This record gives sequence, C-alpha cells and structure tokens, in this order.
Amino acid sequence: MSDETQRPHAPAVETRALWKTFGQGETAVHAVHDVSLTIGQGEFVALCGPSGSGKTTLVNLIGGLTDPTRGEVRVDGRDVGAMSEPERAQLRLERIGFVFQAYNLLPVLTAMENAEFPLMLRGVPKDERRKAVSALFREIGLEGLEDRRPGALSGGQQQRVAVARAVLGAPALVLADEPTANLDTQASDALLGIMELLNQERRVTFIFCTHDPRVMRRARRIIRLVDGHVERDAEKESGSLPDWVLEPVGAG
Amino acid sequence: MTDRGFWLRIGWRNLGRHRRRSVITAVALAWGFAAVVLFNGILEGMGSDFIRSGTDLMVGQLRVQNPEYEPERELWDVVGGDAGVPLAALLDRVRTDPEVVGAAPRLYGAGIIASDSTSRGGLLMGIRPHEERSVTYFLDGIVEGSVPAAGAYEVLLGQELARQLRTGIGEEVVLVAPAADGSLGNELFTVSGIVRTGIPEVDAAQVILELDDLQFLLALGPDDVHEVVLALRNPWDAPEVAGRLTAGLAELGPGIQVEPWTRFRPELVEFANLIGGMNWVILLVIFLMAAFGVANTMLMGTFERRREFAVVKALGMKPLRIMAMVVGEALVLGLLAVAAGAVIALPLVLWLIHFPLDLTPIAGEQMFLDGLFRFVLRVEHSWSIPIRAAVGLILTATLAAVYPALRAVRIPAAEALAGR
Repeated sequence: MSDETQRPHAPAVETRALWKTFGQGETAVHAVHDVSLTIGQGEFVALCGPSGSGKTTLVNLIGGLTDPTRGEVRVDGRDVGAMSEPERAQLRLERIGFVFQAYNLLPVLTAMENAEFPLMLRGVPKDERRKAVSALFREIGLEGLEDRRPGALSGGQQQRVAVARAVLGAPALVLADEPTANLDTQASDALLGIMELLNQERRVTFIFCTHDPRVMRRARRIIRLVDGHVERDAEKESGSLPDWVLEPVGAG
Repeated sequence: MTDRGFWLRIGWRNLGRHRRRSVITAVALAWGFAAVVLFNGILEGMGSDFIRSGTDLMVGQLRVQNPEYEPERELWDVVGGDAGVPLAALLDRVRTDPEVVGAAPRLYGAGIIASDSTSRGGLLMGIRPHEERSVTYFLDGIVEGSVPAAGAYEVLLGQELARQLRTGIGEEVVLVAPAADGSLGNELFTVSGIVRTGIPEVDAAQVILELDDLQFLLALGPDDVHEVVLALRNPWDAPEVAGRLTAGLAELGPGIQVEPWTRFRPELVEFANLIGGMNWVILLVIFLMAAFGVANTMLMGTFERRREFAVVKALGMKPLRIMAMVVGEALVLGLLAVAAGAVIALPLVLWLIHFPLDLTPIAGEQMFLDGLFRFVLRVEHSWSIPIRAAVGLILTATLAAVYPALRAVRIPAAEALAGR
C-alpha cells in the first residue's frame, strides 16, 4: 500500500459492531461479541482479560488473519474485511507487524534471515536489509547471533528476533500476542523498552494481548475483554496499574 | 523479489528437514528419470535398428528413379527417361552430398531361368556388387560361392530358386527375358553363388547379375538403370536429403525423381511412430508415478508446516509467493532428482551406446517388415531423450506441487497459529 492510499487522519484501528462466531446454532461460540473500538495512531494499548475472552481473536481480526462474522474492521481507514487476500497480505506487509507468543520464527532460517524476511518480501536490496538488521540486532543485544538458527537461540533471544522481524519494516501498527509470556523479567523489560521507544520515537501503534502486569503497567490504555466484549476501556498513565485490571471477572 | 537464491535456499533447507523422506522421493524420481532415459534410448535404438534393417537389407534409404517407373516398372522407364542421363555424372552428383554414404545403380527385369532340369520365372536384378555393398547388405547373405564377376556371365541365385531349379555353383542356366527393343534376350550364365536374404519371395525368385550383363541381355545402354539406391548417415534425414538431391539432379535433365524411404516404405514410418508412442507411454507412466510421489511429499510437508505458512501469511507473504515457495521446493527436488538420475543413467547409457549388447545368440534373427532384425540392445545417441526426460521430470515435479501449494495458501492463518 502506498502512502497515497492510507488516510493520514484515520485512526490506526477502528472496529464497528464486530462479531466473530465459531460454530453454529446451539454450539455457536461468540469469540468476539459486538466490539466497537477506535485506537488512534501512536497509541500503546494493552488488551487484557481472562483466557478465552477473545483477545487473540480480536487481534487476528484486526490483522486480517480471519474474517469477521459481522461488523467492520478498519486499519488506517481501510476496510480489512472487504479486501482480497493479496490486498490483506500487502496491508500486513506494509503496515502491520506481528509478534506471536510462541515466537514463530521460521526454523530453516537464521536469526538474520528471519528478521529480514518481511523486508525481503518487500523487495528491499540485500545490503540495505542486512544493514538494517545488524543495526537493530546491536540495539537489542543480538549481535553475534545473526547466523544461528532459532533452535540455537534462547526463548528471550528468539522473541527479540521476532520483535525485530515485526518492527524492521517500520510498520504503523504492531500486533503483539502475549509477547512476554515466555520471557524472564529482564528479557521482558528489554523487549518492552524497545517497543516503547519505537512507540515514542516513530509513533508506531502497539496493541498487546497480555496477561502480564509489566506490559499493562507500560500501556497507556487498557481494554479489558470479557466473553468477547469490551468490559472496560480506559486510558492511564504509563507506569500505573489500575486495580480493576486485576479484579476477577464481573467484579468491576 | 530481488533475492531468488534466497527462495532456492529455503527450498533446499526445507527439504533437508525430513532428509529421509526427501531422499527417498528424490531417489525414486532419479530412478524414474534414469528408467525413462534408458528405456527411451533403447526403444529409439531398436526403432532405428528396425528402420535400418528394413531399408539397409535391400531397398536403401533413398532411391533415384524415373517418376514413370513405379508402379508398372516398365523396362524402358530408366532414370532420365528417353533423353537418358550419364550414370557416372549422376553417381558423382549424389555422392557429393555429405549425408550420402553410398550409392548403387540397379537394373530390373523379368524373365525365365532354366536349368538343365527345369525352369522358373525369375526377377532379374543387375548390380555392381562393390557399390551395392556400400548401400545394402543382402550380399552378406551369400551362403555359397560369390558375387557375379564383371563380364563373366555369372548369376547369383536366391537359395530357394536354386533349390527349385536343382542347380548349384558352377552349373549353367539359361536366362530368357523380353528386351527393351522388343526382342527376346537370351544368354547362358554360370551360377557363381547362392544367396539367402531371408525374404521368402526374394529368395524364391531373385536372379542377380552384373549390371553390364543385364544391360546387354535387355538391350539397354551402359547408362540405363532403373534406380540408384542410396545409403545415408542418418535414415531420418532422408526427406531432407531427397529434397536437396531433387533440386541438384534436376540440372542433369528431366525424368529424375528422388524418394525417401519414408515414402516408399510407409509401414516403417508407422512402426517408428508406434515406437514413439511407446516412448510417450513409458514417459507418462513413470512421470505419473513421480507426480504422486512428489505430491505426497509436498502434501505431508504442507500439513506439517501449517503454522509456518500461517506465520508467513501474517508477515505479508502473498498467496502467489506462498505457492511459489512450495513449488520451488518441488523444483529443487526435481533438479536434485535429475542430477542423481543422470549419475545413475549416464554410465549405463554410455555403455550401451559404445558396447551394444548383442542378444542374437539368445533371440536369434527375425524377419520384420522385410528386414532382417537382430536383437541388439543399444541406446540411440540422442540429446533429445535426456533433455525431454529432464524437462518432463522437472515439470511433473513442479506441477505435482501445485495442489499442495494451493493447500498451503488456503490454510486458515488464525486457526493454524492457534495450533488448530
């Protein structure tokens, strides 16, 4: 997608009466249930809620990895549900970075190749992308590990490679699904620090699915999902953690 | 995409993830390739031998005639027609063509041959034995005696004819034949040899004379022949050489026609087509099996890597690129198989090109389409066979990967990422 096609004043993400239902009839499960949200450019948002509350499904809907049953998802003002698969792929390639809980690095590629993968898909010349990866690897402590395959990296290192892969192409939006779930405190802090920096310096919008209070503390907006719908949506100061976030379901 | 090598590297590494499975598939493909190259080469060799045996025994691969000569075969329809053509000039001209390896003039007639005990109808053929041997090999079938000597009034008889005439080497026979001038030519000849061509109708009627002797008997001039038969380096070039020679010989005068074996032995062409058809059937059967092997390997790979395909989708890889990635793996597999297949096939092919396996002691010699066929296992040297097989195999491998590639494209990313 070229710069001309994105709407400069459009929110990063907009959902309108969004539903995602799995199954039919009596066995139907509404994973996302009438969700309407607007997330502005450069926001740092944590989606929280118990397991099965629909966080991952909502992120998948925003990223165009699954189709809504009803309603509308817009990224940069563009209706994701109305796009063809190649158009969605192009949108993801140019505007969205993904970080997955299970890292999901490609096992046959080295750390360097994994990180540069989206750049290669964009047709960035080899020298240019290697330079970019090396610079970022230096920043996030992966220098010297470029030629290692994922199997030869620790969990923290793999997740840093995954983050590098997500942010290298300077996306407008990063969707991160439990990015710190398998990391120790030090690795989590380092990773979140990088993301915060990107958010502040480049106004990259971050949406995290998380249970991790460390992530929620750094977020400036927390959306709590319960049974597929938004129970709470509140802005906050970075560093604070509202009590309701940790309250049991229904207590708020 | 700027880095094509990257995708080949991915293909190579992905194949290396299940080395045993990839190796088994590649080896199966390699054997398929080797089998196609070998069987096609042997069949082509056999087809070529059939054609050579069908043309080299007696009829040659090209014939120069008067266009009026066939099918009535009138005595006076000699090459060049009424104006005639200098035989030496005609022979010189055809021998200048680089594809022509031999040329032999012939004269035909029909008459009665009588021994001292009986008589039979005979097909008379006047030849120059040393030139005839450069074109055909029926004289190799002399079972007794030798070819007729020039000016000695000798005849070579078909074996069955000699038996029926109850005559033999050194005995005299009388030939009586209607001559071109309307007279009845007759002359006394000595039997110089007995020949067995293997063609029953030839062996029962053929009377072979020196060309000059038959011309004299039939009251024809020294340049009068009914045909000049030619042997070529490659029988398949006959139509092209015929065209070339027709243009060249037109300068010598009218009444000259050049025909390739493909026209006067159409049954051999049909047989060659049959061999070609068999080659395609072999190609089809083996490559179909290869296709199933590749499709199976690639499908299993696709199922095992559902999550990875979901990840590359999430990273923005377009459906066509995903397809290309899967098909690329099959392409790498096909290339590997061709390389391995060449290693398997090459020694066997070279061996059978340079050291054909003569199975005649086991299978014997067979008459087939008026040719004496010897069962010799040899491979016809031809680049088109391995090239066709390699292209076929690589195409098969890549096409067989299209369905698994489509499956990879259709993997629902969200479900696959969730491990469902």
